[in-house]
Amino acid sequence: MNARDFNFEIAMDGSQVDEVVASIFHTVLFHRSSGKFTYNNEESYSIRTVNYVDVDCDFIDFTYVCCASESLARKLKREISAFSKLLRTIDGRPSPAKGEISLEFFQKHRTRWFLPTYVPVPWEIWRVSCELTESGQDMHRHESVVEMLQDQIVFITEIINRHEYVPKMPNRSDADLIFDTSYPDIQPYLFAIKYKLPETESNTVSNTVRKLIRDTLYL
Amino acid sequence: MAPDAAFSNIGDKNEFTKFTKFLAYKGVQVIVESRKGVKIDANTKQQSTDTDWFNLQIPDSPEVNQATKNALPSDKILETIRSHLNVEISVQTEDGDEMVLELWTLGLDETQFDSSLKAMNTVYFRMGILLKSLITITRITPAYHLSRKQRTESFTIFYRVYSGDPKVKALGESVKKIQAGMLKTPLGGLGFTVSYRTNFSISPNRSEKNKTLLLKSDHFELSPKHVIFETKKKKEPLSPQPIDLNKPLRLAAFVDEYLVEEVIKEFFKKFPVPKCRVPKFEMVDDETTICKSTQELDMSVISKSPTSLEMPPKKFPGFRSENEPPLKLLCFPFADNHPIRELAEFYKDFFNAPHLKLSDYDTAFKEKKLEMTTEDFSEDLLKHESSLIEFDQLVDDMCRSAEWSGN
Repeated sequence: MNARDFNFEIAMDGSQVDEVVASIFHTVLFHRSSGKFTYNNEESYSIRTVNYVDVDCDFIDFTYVCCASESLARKLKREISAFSKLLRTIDGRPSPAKGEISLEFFQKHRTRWFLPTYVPVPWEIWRVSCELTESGQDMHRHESVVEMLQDQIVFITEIINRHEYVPKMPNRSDADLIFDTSYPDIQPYLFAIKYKLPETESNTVSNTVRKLIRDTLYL
Repeated sequence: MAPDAAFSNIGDKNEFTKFTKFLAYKGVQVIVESRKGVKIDANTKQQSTDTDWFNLQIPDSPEVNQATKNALPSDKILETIRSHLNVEISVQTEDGDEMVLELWTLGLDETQFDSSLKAMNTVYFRMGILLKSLITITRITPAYHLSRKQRTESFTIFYRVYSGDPKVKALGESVKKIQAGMLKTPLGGLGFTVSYRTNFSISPNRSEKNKTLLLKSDHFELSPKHVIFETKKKKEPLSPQPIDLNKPLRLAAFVDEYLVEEVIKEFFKKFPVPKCRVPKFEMVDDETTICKSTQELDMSVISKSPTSLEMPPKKFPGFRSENEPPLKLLCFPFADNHPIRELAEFYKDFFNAPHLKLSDYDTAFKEKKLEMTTEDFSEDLLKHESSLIEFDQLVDDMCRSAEWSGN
């Protein structure tokens, strides 16, 4: 099965990475999460309410909406900041540091009908390619990040309202193959956050130390 | 055009109409809530009931529901939405300047139908997603940033719900449009659209030509990042201002009002003022003076008294008819934990009170009044001109007594 794949390329300041990625991923997850399911029997279920909250960004003049779920917010924060930290340690010379983080929705397929083993099959992928610019750039750069984010939020809503393939509502026994039922307050489709950074020597410890020394001397 | 037999049975159509009705109600709630200037966080949310429409915890303000109900008659849900249901968001500065910021429209585009969507639970689920898109989009337009600042700046955001053609012209020439998702149904594409102004220059709407422009042309910058109202004018040195006779006279602190009353009575005994020559049947009493259209009162005050500019707008010149409901006040800045909150709530409750209407009696009074001839006025003038010396003496006396009391 071919997954829908969307890629956003954004140039930003290192301090903005967490918030830019979070605003995109949380917007997608807000649309791709429902309230907790309560199954009355194998096929019949009722859905609880989803609450939402506003999140004001600190490094960009932007507010996004996300599900009111502390555990979801924690998970995303942890994954995104791990990516952000690594990205910012990359030497931005001569070419700017780049990295990609993705939010991947998948469903679990049984490998063999008689075996309890599953393989994840992605059905929708949202990628954010981040390119770091020099910090303390002018206001226009900041505005362009905000404008780009606004365009992307509109694009996300447009895509999601096309109602192309999403997994069917499962029976009680298959709910865990479609949804992540581990959250106490919401039930998002199964998702994974992955990231990749260029396979250069710049990620090694020695290079990071060398960069730090060089930056210190630069001052 | 959507096929006539879009739904296989009448039950489905009724259910679809009901869902659409609640989509409209919740959509308006989402838009208005987002313009209250309040950040929604986990603490501000009420406990969900698990019976929320579309499985989303959207507030149900009775005032907003009433506004929607007025614009969306229960027996004409689909017809009204076909002809568009609009939510207008506008701003008013403390100087009385007004500007429409954005226009949200819920429409049903019959050309965008999808006859394959039959299951009503899928329609319901997708309407929930449409509302989520609406919630998301409400945060990215410039009006959201403005509304978040209204508690600390001197302007207020208003909303108005109406049906029919959206009045996009009120947004000025430079308008941006965003489609906040569209749900294709057997009857057509249901979707929210927002049109918002990108030019935030404000021009005074008062008739006086010599009024100075209080806001700079670049007062509202285009980028939402910088959309900040600077209506607080720089403090200028106080200059003597003419006395405004339209302002009600008030007694100063510690003045003995009985004594003042006595003095006034004495004054009128000495110098009778001209009596209004009205026919005897009119019996001028307190009731007849109250019995006047508040609309008229407002208009007369606006054209004369600068104090009236502090009042909330009753109507926008140009396109609001008197029959349309007035804009509603969304919030009261700084009044969260303040005693003035009670006053604010009182004001809010009575803001939409029905207007007083002219009674036939009062209309007759006006007609008779018009019949007063200039001769009557001339007589009065002559009489008072002859008493000029007495008036001058009185003024001298008053000045003298003021000097004594000053010493």
